[in-house]
Amino acid sequence: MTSEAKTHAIDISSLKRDNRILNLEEETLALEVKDLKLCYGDNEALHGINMFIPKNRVTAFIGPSGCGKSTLLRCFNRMNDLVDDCHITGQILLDEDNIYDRSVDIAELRRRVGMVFQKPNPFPKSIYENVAYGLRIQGVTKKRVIDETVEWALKSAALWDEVKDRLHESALGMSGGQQQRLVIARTIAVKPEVLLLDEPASALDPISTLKIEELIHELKKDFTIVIVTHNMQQAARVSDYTAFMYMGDLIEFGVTDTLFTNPEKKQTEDYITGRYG
Amino acid sequence: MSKDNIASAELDFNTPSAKRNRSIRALKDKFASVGIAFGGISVIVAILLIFFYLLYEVAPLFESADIERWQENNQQVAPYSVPGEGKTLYLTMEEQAEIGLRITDSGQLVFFNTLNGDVIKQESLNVPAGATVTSFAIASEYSGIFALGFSNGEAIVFKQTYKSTYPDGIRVITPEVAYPLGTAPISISEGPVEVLALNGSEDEWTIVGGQRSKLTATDVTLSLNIITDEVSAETNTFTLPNMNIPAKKLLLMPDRSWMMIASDGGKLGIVNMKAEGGPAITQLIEATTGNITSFEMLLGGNSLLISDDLGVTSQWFLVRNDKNQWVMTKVRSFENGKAAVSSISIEHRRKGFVTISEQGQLSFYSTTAHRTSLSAAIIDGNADMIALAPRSNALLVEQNNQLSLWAIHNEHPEISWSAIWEKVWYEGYEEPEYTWQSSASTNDFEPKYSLMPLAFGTLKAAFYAMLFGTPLAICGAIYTAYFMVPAMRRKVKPFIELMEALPTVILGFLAGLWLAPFMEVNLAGIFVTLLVLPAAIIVFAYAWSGAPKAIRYLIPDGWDAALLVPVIILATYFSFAIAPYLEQMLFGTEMRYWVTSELGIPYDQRNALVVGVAMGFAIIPTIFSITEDAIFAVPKHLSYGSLALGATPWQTLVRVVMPTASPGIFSAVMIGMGRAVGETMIVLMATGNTPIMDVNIFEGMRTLAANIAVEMPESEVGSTHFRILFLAAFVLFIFTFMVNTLAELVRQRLRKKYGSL
Repeated sequence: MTSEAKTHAIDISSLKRDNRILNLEEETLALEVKDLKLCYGDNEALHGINMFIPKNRVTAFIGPSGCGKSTLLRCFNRMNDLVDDCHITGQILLDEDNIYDRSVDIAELRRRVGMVFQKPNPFPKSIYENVAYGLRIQGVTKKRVIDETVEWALKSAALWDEVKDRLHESALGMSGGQQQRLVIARTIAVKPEVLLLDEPASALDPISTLKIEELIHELKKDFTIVIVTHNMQQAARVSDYTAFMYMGDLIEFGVTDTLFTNPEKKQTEDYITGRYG
Repeated sequence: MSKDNIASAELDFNTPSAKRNRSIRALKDKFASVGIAFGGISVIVAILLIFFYLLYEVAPLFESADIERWQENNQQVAPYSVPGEGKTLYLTMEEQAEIGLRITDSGQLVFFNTLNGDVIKQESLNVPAGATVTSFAIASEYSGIFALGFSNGEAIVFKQTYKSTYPDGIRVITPEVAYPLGTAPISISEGPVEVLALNGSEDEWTIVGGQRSKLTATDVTLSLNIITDEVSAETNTFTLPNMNIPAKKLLLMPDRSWMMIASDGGKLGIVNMKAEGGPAITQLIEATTGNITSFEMLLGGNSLLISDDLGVTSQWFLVRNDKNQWVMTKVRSFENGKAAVSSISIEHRRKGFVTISEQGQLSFYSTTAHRTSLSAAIIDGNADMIALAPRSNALLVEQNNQLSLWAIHNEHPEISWSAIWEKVWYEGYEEPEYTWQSSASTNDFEPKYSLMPLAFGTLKAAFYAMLFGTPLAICGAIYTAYFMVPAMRRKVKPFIELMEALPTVILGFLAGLWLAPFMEVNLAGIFVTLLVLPAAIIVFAYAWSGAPKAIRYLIPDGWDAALLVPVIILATYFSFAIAPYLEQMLFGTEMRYWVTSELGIPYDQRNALVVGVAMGFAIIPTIFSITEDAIFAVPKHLSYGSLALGATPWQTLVRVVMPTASPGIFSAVMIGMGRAVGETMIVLMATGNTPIMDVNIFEGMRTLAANIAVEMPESEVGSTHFRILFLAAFVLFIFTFMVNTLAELVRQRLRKKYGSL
């Protein structure tokens, strides 16, 4: 509110980031959200969202708890379908096709739009089988292809060196941070176009969090990444664009540096300066 | 956003009331933990008590016999000299083992007190003047009918009887001698009666006797004169052809169609007395390489016991061969070291016998169980004669003109591991078999206590029930837990669980009285339904997936199962409608007749199919409920993880949910199986309770549990049958215990594997 409050805002320049000049107008679209409304029963959680997700960039969703950022994220691969009593209107376009069309093959959609959850959820299988799982369900049976993909995915997830000697041990014996990177490796193994990360580091210690953030930085070369986080420093560190949501509305969406240093809306400023949340 | 500062109320946790509250709380906690521990330990103790009680009832079955000197008033009964004169031909005792009978070679019957040898009564048989006793024969120990042959070619038949009276409340046993064929000796042979055998019943008797190579048979028919009330005997003597086997001892079977001749050395001749064209020898066997020392018939008169001087006693009986001829066959033999068997005594009530060797080694044998329940040296040297009391609780031993009385404890000799679990060759059977037959109409019946048919029946019933119930229950649980909309699930699950409350007696009643006759008439319909129904469901599902979207979208997701209801009803109706035509076309007759005539499978109305369906229904709620819970309890984040990777719900189910739920599903199946194994009412009412061993689905079975229920009321407390039923219960207990333990171990392993989620 006052100008002193701004001193608490994050010093963006101190963060290691590439110094490209980003402009939302010039980005290619990965996903486009059109007038998306979502109700849990009678309770409307999203009140008509309109936005788009730029391709090969990291987009962060921030906002206080219950603002609908995770809900919106789950709309991108229709995970909300699994929630009882959830009704969605509006459209989300992936390559110009509405993913909410009834003819859409949901499984194929979810392969194209992969998701990593807040809590690491490796399957009770070996490390290798966890990563190979996505390939196997797609009907890949050639061992060579699977071996190569598993190695690639684990290397991409910066996990290969840590686990290459125990690929066939249970994934449940890994640390939380390793499990989360394994889940990311598992997700990228099926070569999705979009990677949805739902607070991927919230259950992890600072060192693991750092590794995940470094990983996100690497992954954005190949994938469009959407990350939900309630950690504003994290959003500022990893994302190119940030969307601030509040009470089921998209308040502000723009280049991360701009949003954190010079927010257009007062609500945004209040939030990033720590006045609520 | 702004916070009001509310002053927190003063809280003191150290006031007396707070302290009191804490101590009450601690006390409650203590009580609760003690109470819960008590409850838990009680359960374990109760199960252990059941276990040990069963064991306590079963253990006597496997105890070996023991023998000791008879104790009377805490005093050992000392040997006494043989009462009466002459040489003992036969020695026996009456029911209470209080009075002994000695038949001597001078034709005397000496009844004596078995404790001290005091002669109670002595009766001289009507020995013809100038004749001597040359042979002795016994019809059977049980009947107490004997015969003596004399040197003048005559023989006399007599019977020992005992009368119990209670003057002044004290039991007095009075021995008596009866003459079923009259007091006068009957002429049976031209020369001296060197060998003798008799058998028969009521009013038809046959006596065979004569010289070693010249035998005659005498048929005696008794008729009662109604007016004078006198019994008159009509005899018919005919000479038997020369058998070319000099007889040392003769035995005649009770039906008098077979005679066995023991000859010199180990030779044995079998004579068919009722062969066409007169009695003829059918077999000449070298029964033993040694010399036959004793030659007797086992209780019932079906088995021969041949002892030899090599110490072996063998059991023989007639077995029908593939040419439909009866052949005397050696069935089993009992070895008694190397010493010659000098004397043998047959049990009066059981298929057992006692031998004593020349070295005084006494052995108790049970033929069916092929068991030696005792082998002990009780005396030094050779015994002249041994005699078992009718209740097999006492033994008289004659040695060097001295008699000694022994007490025997041999309650359950007829049970052995082999009698229960292995094939046993029973008298009259063509080969060794597993048979359960615990009672019959005759006294000389041999109870057949093989638990195999029952254990087999238990597993068979459980198998068919599982075959029917498990797939339905598990598939239903998968659908309910994983695919069904929650609103429908909330209704379906309690409904199926409610089925568990259905008393099994109702299921059994329906199965036995409605389902079994229904299936018998509509057998083809049942089988057509089993084929048509899955096919119809698959075809419908395929058609539905190909139906226009406009139609498909009418049904909300997760409610599509409801569409199957009319499909199932129609398919079932269709199956039953076409079944009669189909079976006429395929078999030309009704399917059950075809099964019997063409496949050669007997069709029982109450069969494994009926039990499978009925008991399947009983176990479905158990398996369904636990499986459903296990699948539903798989963490959502796992299935979401899989779905988010692009797996279809089915792939997620098969590759993630089912493996994770596998411990629960495994327990569900095991608990279902435990239920099926222990289930009583349904199998009791719907199986026909036939203890047969046949996997065939159209035949019945008898399970361990049903067997206990059926036979417990008719078994005498403490009897072998009674204890065998406890053994069956024990086997059932061990079986379910093992299944459950195994299930728990596997479950723990699986849980460890998939546990830390």
